[in-house]
Amino acid sequence: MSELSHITRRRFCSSLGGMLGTLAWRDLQAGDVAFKGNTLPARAKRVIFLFMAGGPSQLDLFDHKPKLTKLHGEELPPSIRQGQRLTTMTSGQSSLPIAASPYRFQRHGQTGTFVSELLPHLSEVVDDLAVIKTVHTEAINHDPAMTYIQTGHEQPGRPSAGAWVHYGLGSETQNLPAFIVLHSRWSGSLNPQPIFARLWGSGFLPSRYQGVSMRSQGDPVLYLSNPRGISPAARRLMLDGVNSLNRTHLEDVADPAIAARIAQYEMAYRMQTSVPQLTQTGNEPASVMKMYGPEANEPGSFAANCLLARRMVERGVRFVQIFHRGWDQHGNLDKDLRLQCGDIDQASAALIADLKQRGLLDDTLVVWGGEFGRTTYSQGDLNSPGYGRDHHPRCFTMWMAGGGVKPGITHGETDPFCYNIAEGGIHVHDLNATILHCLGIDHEQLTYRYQGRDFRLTDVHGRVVQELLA
Amino acid sequence: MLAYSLFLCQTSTRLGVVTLDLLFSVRLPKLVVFISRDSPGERFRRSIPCAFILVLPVVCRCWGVPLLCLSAVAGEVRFNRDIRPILSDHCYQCHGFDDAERKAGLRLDERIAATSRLPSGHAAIVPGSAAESALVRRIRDVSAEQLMPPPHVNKPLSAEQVSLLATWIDQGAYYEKHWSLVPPQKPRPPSVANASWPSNEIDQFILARLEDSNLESSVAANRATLLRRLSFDLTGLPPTAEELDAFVNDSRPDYYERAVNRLLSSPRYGEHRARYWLDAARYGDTHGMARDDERSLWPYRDWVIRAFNDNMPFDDFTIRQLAGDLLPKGSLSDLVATGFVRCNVSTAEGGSIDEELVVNYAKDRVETMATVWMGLTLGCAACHDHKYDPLSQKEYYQLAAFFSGLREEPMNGNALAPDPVVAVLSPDQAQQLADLTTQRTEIQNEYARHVASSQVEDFNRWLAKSASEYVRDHKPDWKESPWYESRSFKQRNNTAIYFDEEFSPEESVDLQGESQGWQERKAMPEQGILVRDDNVAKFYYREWTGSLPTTRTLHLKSNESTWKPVRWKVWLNGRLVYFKQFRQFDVPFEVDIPLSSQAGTNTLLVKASHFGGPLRATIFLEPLEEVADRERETLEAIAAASRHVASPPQHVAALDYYSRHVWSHGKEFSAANARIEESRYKLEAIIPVSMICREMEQPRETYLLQRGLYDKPLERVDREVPLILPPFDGPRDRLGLAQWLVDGRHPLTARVAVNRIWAQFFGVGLVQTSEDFGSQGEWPSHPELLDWLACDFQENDWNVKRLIRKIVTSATYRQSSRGRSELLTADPQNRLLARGPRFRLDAEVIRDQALFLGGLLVEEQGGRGVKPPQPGGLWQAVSQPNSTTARFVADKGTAARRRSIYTFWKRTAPPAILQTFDAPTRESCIVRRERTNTPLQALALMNDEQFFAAAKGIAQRIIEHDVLTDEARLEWAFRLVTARDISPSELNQLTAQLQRARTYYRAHPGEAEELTGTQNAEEAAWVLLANTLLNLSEVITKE
Repeated sequence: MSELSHITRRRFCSSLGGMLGTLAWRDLQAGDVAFKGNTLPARAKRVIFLFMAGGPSQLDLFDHKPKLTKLHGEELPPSIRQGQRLTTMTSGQSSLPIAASPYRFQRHGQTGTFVSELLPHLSEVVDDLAVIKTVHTEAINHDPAMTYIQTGHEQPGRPSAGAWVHYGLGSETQNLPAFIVLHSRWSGSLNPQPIFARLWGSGFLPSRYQGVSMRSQGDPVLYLSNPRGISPAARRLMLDGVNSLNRTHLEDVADPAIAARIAQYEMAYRMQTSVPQLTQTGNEPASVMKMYGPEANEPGSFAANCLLARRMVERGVRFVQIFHRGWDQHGNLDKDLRLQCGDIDQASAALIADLKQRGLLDDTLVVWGGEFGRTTYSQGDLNSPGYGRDHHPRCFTMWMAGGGVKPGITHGETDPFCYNIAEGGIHVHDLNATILHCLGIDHEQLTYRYQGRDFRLTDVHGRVVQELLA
Repeated sequence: MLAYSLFLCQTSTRLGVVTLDLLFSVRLPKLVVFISRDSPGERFRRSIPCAFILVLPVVCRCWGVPLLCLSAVAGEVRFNRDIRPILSDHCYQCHGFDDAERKAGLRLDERIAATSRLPSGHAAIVPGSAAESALVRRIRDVSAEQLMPPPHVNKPLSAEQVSLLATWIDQGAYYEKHWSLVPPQKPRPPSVANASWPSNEIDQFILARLEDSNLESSVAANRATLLRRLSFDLTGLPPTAEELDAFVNDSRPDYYERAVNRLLSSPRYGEHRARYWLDAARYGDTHGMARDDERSLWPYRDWVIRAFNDNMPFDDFTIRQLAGDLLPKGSLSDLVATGFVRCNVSTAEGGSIDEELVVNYAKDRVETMATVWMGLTLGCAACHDHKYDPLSQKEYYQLAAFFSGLREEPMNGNALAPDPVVAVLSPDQAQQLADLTTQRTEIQNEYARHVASSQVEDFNRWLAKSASEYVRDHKPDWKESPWYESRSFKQRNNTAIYFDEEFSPEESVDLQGESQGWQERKAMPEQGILVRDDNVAKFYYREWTGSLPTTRTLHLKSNESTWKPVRWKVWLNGRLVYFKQFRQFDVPFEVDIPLSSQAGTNTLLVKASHFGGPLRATIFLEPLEEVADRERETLEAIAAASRHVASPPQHVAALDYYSRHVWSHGKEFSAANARIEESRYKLEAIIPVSMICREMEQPRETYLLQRGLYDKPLERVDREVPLILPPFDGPRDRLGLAQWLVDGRHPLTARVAVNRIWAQFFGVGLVQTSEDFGSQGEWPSHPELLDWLACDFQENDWNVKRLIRKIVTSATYRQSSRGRSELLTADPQNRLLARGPRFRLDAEVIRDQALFLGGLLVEEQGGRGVKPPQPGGLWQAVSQPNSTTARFVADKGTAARRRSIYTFWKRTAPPAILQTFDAPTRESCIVRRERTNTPLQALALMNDEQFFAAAKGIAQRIIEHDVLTDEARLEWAFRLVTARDISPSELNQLTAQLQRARTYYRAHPGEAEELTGTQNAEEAAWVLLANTLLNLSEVITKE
């Protein structure tokens, strides 16, 4: 509704009579809030999802398994594996030797949460995090697993979590898209797994709910800049002409869609100013830039994107999704994992601290994680430096912070092999149900009728994990 | 309008405004009359719905209730129209067809079950007595614990719905079979009061409904607007000024029909119609999953376009796409049509499990088929029995089993065209091939003439004069080099037609230089070659010298049963003498290639390219000793013949050798033949392929899968169709299935097809939910019209153009689309069609129109997808760097300016401009596009490179147009973009706009120069004006 501040209701209603004005109002409203089922108290107003595409190795980062050191090189006991399916990348491997984490783990913060030496900065903010060691999924390959965690279904075709949230809660800003996606450079594998527009797509929801990819090169938002020779003043001049003729036509043919279009042109014009204001981070104080690290000055880096994410949520963007690829360490685990952690460690810690110092962490939910974890056994020869780990869907670590989540906790336990869940499993549907809950949405009520069925982000599953909530 | 009151009642109940609810249910029907007749009490009464309208939009969006509710409140309650939607939406979840989910043993989807006594001793429904029916008690006047539906499911019944259910039970609780499952009977078009209005049967149905609702139809649209509407609807492009003039001034009585015929026979018609179908077919130019490499399926896209242009009957259209490969006399074109079945997304992601992929593909295929032809939401039954429609989970897998025989590898190998495929010649290529055949016949004939006229004579003369000398000078004295093997040449990608990248050895072999990396092969390739690397080409080279011309055989062979495609090329003395593309089902293969070895030095170059995994093969060159033994005998035969002592076989051998290697006509013939062969090979190497269907001899077994999980098979199922549909008596394969869909008894196929076509013209189907004709789908706005159209369509051989002609020649279609105040409340979605259709143009039409108006559109038909410019980095942002679609390189020149149907569709990053205007991703079947209105669309129209180029094009056209005054130019330009004449007010506004632009650019010559390359403010002002015009709402709207 707030999108309309420039085109007042009065203007619609005055020239056309109440009916048309109101219908135009409806047309615009439909562009904003379509769902009114959030009956729960909302702790979070917005989400920043740091998505580590590829599947970060939980047992090298968060899930400390000291006993594995003794078992290093020994075969994974069949009693642990229980014959469940492996990907065809290691199902043909004659041996599945346990690969203990080569990294040092220490307790950090007041809460004494274990974090690996690869994440020194994140270690400093663990008291703000809820570390979840027991997320699990069924998908064992990237494409279906990413599609699953982001859309609640392994096959393409469903709306993404951000689109659901946009649909459910509408927009809080009249100058920026409600759901923005950022892509980050990565340092690990040079040939990482791809991602897909469907991960921020609207599926069968109207396409206005899809995420807007904001780019680090060229126009941050597609088609944002005027062509050469069209200054902002010329654009205003042109827009005034368009609006004036559109209004004339509106009065002639009484089509509410025209009124809505006039408003959308005004918002487009505002975005031409507000988006560059958002992306130009030059006025950030040196102290803030220092928090995020030197890479924050390089557009397209994960650090720059984290800083942008903070600026976005400050401006009322509802859902920010940052993708960081390259976490698929089938080989070269040691080399690549260090590089990947180097990309994200300081900036994600800075994001938490920065949100906190501005009081934004209370109502901003930050989520970190990938589509699955990695195996405790090695892929490739354990004695060669190039060994890695295969995909592991049965348990992996994510963390959440802010927006209604209990800070400083570690949730769930995996078995000593980091292979199965010992207690407190959280399925990806549960995770999504919990994210929606923090936003004040009952995941069973957030539905959209398509092909005769009321679809949900959580399909017919999902449990709100009360243990995670503050 | 009766419906409207119901709607308000529902709305108000949700808002808890109970008193108004009661008031309205009684008074609104009268109120309608007041409004439409403009009677004295109007002002007072009108204020009431106005107050409601303010809350109405929000509510209807929230609950997904259509603005126009299509049922009645008074009179007889009808099960299908009034009751089934309520039961389906609020009750069937727990009391429906799915017995696994059924609660309290109560089933409400069948009358016998619903009226039986339950274990509790009550009956849910006691026909004729709502008071005695447990159902009625449980939906009103009970505590929250007792209330149905339970409050936690969040599907409360409105007071009106409760009362409808009670009335229905009081009236006897009669059930009807779901309307869409009852085969349509062609109804007689209703009579109407205003008998002069209807142009055809459609109008009788539409007008009857309008008259019932006390609404009047609209006047006819003016001719210009009408031609624009018609041109967009039939061709996807606007009319030209000349076409407008001709149409507006045409005084013949059938001027309209003539225009319809002209547009229907335009090749643009098929391009436009195909666009809708390709959304349903989920057509794309990439595989859609994981690496999302390019796929070659565009011949299928072109097939669809051609099928529409040829007006292929819809039943044929159906059969060929689902089963063209199984037709007894199937043509190449029928094979290409089966690309429909292969359009699903597929993967080659490492680690995937074949069995899971097989299940996923089958699900996609069967669900797509069910949506496209039957409007059934079959997908609901993959994991459990359908909650709303009588479709069991077993039936889902029985139907899926029809697709279990496809001969394809689950992993697509990231190949450009995973098998099975077929080579598809363009008309141009077919002509070239025909020309080559003709040429070959000609030289063969010429050779035959020479043979007849002089061969024996020349041979005898040679025997007498030169043969002994020849035998003396030519010896089987060949010497040969060892075999050399080149380094592996990595093919940058496989996006070329197959993987036919050319490398330097094909230009010239450089054995010494480092770049080609030649190494002498210790072991002969006869003992086998092994190319380890993935996606590379390797060369093998050998040369030999000798004085005697001969024929030496090259033998290529691979025993390996591999699914990898392999391509061979062989050059002898720099001329391509062999080419063959082996695909996964051609191996193992074996081939003999005769090489014409000349006197002097001969060079042989063999290229083996392959894709995916190692290649094992042998290259066997006939040993020189064997050739020498053979030719020694030939020389002896010649010597004997020259001395007239040859045996008959010797004589034949001598003549044969002479004819091939000595006789000038024979040598000319060989050379000419080699030239033709080379041309043919070169042509073959670039002939595109298209993915098609082929059936395995033994289909895979299909199982009912527990919760739809591939690794939880339960019972094995056979091919069968659902019980609720007509019996199946054809062959149990895809062909039988396709024939069953269109055999005329099927209740859904024709209805679903005509509904979708109707929606293309009116923006919404007669059944709004084009994808769902089941109980959760919407009741048709005009059920009788839908049935009439469906029957008429079938009776007339599924003639699509005839159906479309019927629609566009109706008075309904030809109405003005101007809004009328009474319609804004009575029927804001225009479901009753009291006015013509008006809605935003689709993505492709918006882009094509801009190029067309700017004089930029290149109308070339068919071919591989093209890449018009788009903002940089969009593919890179999502792609794996080694994908063949990792980097977007825009086409230049004419390819960039073709119609959008030819735009290359990468499914994980679809064409940005099209997506901005609601095009789907094409990852799954879509039969109804959303239509949104967003600021990103405004930005695209203002700033996209091609839209702005179109503005410049229009400015250029304005300036070059042979009128000089501003006024005349503006009038001309306005008509160009809207097809209609400009109004005085609009002319004033545009004139002022032009003046402002001129003033601006005079003051800012630098900007003018940036814009146009000169400091000429005049030109810059016109560009800005054209940019203004292209952004008008009217220009992107079908008026």
